[in-house]
Amino acid sequence: MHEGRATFRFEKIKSLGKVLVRMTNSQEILKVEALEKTFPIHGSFFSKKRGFVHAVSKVSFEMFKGETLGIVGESGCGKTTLGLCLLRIIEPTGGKIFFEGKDILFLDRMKLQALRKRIQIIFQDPFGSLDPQWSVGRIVGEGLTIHKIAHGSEMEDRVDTMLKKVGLNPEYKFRSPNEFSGGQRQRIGIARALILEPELLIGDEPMSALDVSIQAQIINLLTQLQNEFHFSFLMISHDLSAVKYVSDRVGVMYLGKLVEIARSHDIYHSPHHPYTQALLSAIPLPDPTTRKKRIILRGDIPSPANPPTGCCFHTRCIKKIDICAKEEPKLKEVKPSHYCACHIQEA
Amino acid sequence: MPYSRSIIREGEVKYVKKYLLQRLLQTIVVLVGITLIVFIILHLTGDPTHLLLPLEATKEEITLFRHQMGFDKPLYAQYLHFLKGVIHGDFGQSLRHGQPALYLVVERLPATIELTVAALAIALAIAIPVGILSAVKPNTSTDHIGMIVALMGQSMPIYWSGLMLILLLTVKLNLLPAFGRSGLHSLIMPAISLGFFSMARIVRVTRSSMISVLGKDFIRTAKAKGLTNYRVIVLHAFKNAAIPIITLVGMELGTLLGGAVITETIFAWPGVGRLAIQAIYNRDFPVVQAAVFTLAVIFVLINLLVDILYTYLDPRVRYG
Repeated sequence: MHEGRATFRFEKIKSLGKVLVRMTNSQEILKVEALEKTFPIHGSFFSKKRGFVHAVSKVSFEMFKGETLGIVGESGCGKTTLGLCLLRIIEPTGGKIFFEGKDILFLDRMKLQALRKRIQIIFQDPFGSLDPQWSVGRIVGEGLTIHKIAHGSEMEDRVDTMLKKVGLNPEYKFRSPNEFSGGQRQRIGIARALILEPELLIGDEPMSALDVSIQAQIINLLTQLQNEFHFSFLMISHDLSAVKYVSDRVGVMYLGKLVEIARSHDIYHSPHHPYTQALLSAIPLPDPTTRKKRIILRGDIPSPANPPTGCCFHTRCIKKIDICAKEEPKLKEVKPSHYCACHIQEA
Repeated sequence: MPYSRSIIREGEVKYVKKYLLQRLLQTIVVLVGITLIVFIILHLTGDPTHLLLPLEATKEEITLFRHQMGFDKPLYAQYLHFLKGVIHGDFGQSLRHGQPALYLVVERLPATIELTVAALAIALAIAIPVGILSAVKPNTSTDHIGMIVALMGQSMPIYWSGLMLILLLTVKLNLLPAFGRSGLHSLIMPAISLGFFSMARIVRVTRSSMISVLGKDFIRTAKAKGLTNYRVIVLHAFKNAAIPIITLVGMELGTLLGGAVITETIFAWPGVGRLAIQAIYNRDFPVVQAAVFTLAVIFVLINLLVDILYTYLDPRVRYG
């Protein structure tokens, strides 16, 4: 476990230079405007709809080419729904998603399938997300044949190369996924996603199902592959330390809303939103001599089916003032490229 | 296709061999069990002589008959004698037809197999598409119609649906013959009434199995790859959903064989089932035993076949 963390840090130091280079490239690849997803709650047989769960509400952000954006938040805050909406695996109920300037919400089925070649996703659960009936080679190679990129021996060559790149023996391609460990399966998932050479990769908690040492390996692998393939990476996670290591910018979500988004350094060193501050105070430090003040939040997360009025965080906020319960704060630039939705910062 | 998983790798051969050998041994035990049951049927009510001979038989006739049939020997000796006969395919002479009982059964087997296969084909041809459609669009009108058809199929006993079909298609519309085995058109009605019941169960299992597979993460992965709906549903979802369906089809074949006995009687289809019913009326016990034994053996062999199919379809079974 300690070894894993050590490599983890070493890799980060190596990639620091890269981060600076990437930040200068500011060509927009993805722009999300007021994205919304509500799920209807079905009542019993006789009563029809009873209400809506607001999984994602009015989320706006943009991503630049080659950048890594981390999205953090508690379980159930809508991180995964947001990721799946970007691929339209879940259809959003409102808002706009521009991928390279085009609104993807109006694409027909054919164009949507073509789009999925350019946006790929790595899923959280490496055990359930691979078809148990298919061999690894077919799982990885299927995308190539479907999108008419490569066939026959050329496809096999590409599959071999890709498996090598993610650290798997190409001879494994005849085996079925159930013969692999969690980390190996996640490598298969990465190979499957990257073989299409996507411009945007979404990682939906790609490490949360793995052991810590394996998490470090997978993170290093992803960073290394990003240097090689230059994709933009949207990393969704509840693991704040992991996100800190890979991200150029970080967005914090609470109850379906984006409450703060800024450069990674700014978020971790001068967080503005009280929720971000509380979240960061909960990161365990691997140093027993450092003491730090933890902000303990009281109460449970409100139900997304019945979100509180005004600021969604006011029921648990330690800095709450009168206006918080009445008016919803808007995402405002508090410092250059540092956005925060909180009344207190404005005052 | 490249990377086809049909190649069983070297390391796996050992497991597969062990598994198949185990299943084969189990099958042999079951077959011995069947001979025991078939033998006991005849002895359930005590001395079978009274079952087999008419009431007005004289004492001398009874003694002679008991000696001829070997009923005066101890029970285990009778069983061993019976088992020896079974191994040689000898169930004795038919009391009515005077021909070997097994010969009579085997002679009618093609008709029964024809009816069962046709019924299963009809059941699958309706059930699989309806089940998949229902699962792809759950709780829509498509789904509701599919489920109503399934409910109807499950609620109608074969003898009733058979009679209704005869009423409609023969008596009212005069389209199809009501009985006999004379070409394809005489097969239609018996096959439909026999297959309809199984169809209903297969629809339900296909639907629930597909719904559970469609909710799995790897389906989401398949969609994320940018595959067409057809590929996602048929190549990823249905292939995984097929395993419980195959189990059910294996069991349904047994139900169909049993149902064939009734269907054959209603439509006067000259198969094993009708022969067995007639033999029961005529107290032709050797024929009853031969028929029951043959149908049971077919059922056991089908189950064995289904299990062997599993090792091909589901790589996880190979390690079981």
